[in-house]
Amino acid sequence: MDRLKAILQDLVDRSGEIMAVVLATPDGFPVEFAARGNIEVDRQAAVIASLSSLATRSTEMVDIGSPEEIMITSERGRMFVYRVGTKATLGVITARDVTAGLVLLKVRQVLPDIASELDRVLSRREG
Amino acid sequence: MKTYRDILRDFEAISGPIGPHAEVLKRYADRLKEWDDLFTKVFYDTLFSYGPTAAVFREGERVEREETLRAWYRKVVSGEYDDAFWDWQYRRVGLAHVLRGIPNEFMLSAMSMVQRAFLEKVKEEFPSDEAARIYLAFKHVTDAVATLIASGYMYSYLKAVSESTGMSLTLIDRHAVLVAQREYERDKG
Repeated sequence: MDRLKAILQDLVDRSGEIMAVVLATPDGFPVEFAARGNIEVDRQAAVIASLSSLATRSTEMVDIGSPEEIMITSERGRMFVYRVGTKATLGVITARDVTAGLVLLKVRQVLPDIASELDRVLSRREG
Repeated sequence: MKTYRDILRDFEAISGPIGPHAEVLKRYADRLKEWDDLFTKVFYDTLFSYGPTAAVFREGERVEREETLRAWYRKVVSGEYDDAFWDWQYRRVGLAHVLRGIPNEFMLSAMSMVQRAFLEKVKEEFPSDEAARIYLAFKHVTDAVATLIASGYMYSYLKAVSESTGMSLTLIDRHAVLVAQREYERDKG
């Protein structure tokens, strides 16, 4: 298992409330993912990239800078979206009754690792 | 963004060069320009007689629109096209159609009607060999125009979605492909 996959898988394995994590390019293509069970990774990647784009456009419009994270609370779950530098967006899907702060903490702890590993993956692909 | 040159390059590669057809029209331009009133009348009589297309127009603007179409027809049959002409068809007409709520199906249907009316007139006025040559020239040029207008219209829509949501055109394209895949699979049963 490559390192990026291992980081995402570890995040899911260590956090019972996290159902899936998907790393997507700004154009909506999946880079890597980890999940409990099956997910439609192509569609989720496209939606995560879109949420990030829309949030960026929205915060630009009200002049509050770039968004650091997006949280959506829905009937049966939550969705968190984080920018990973300028090259990708991370989507985290959790159960409804999670402590949001705990998820934020766990994700923020691994974001630097994801970002540096992503750089390595992308430079390998470009090279 | 693709330019009109990109679109015309594809059009000419697939459907054939415009130049020789433009030369044909140029040779007959004086005579073809005489039909401008006829075309303008046929065009607007048709559009005003059908509710959905008539609804596009504001009250009292027919005269103004007729003048625009007359100028367009005369330009098309002149066989002389500059960058500004093609660029206008691509960027400005597409935008104008978005603004006025004129979808591509209206534009393409109207273009088909214009081509048919031209064929009928040219058959009346010229021997059959000549008529065929002139008609093919007119059809080729107006097909190129329709291609540019349809592309410009589509691009205007996508650009609006992209600018208002922040989604890149590539990301919008990604959604289109994923939805198309899903629907295609669903239709296959």
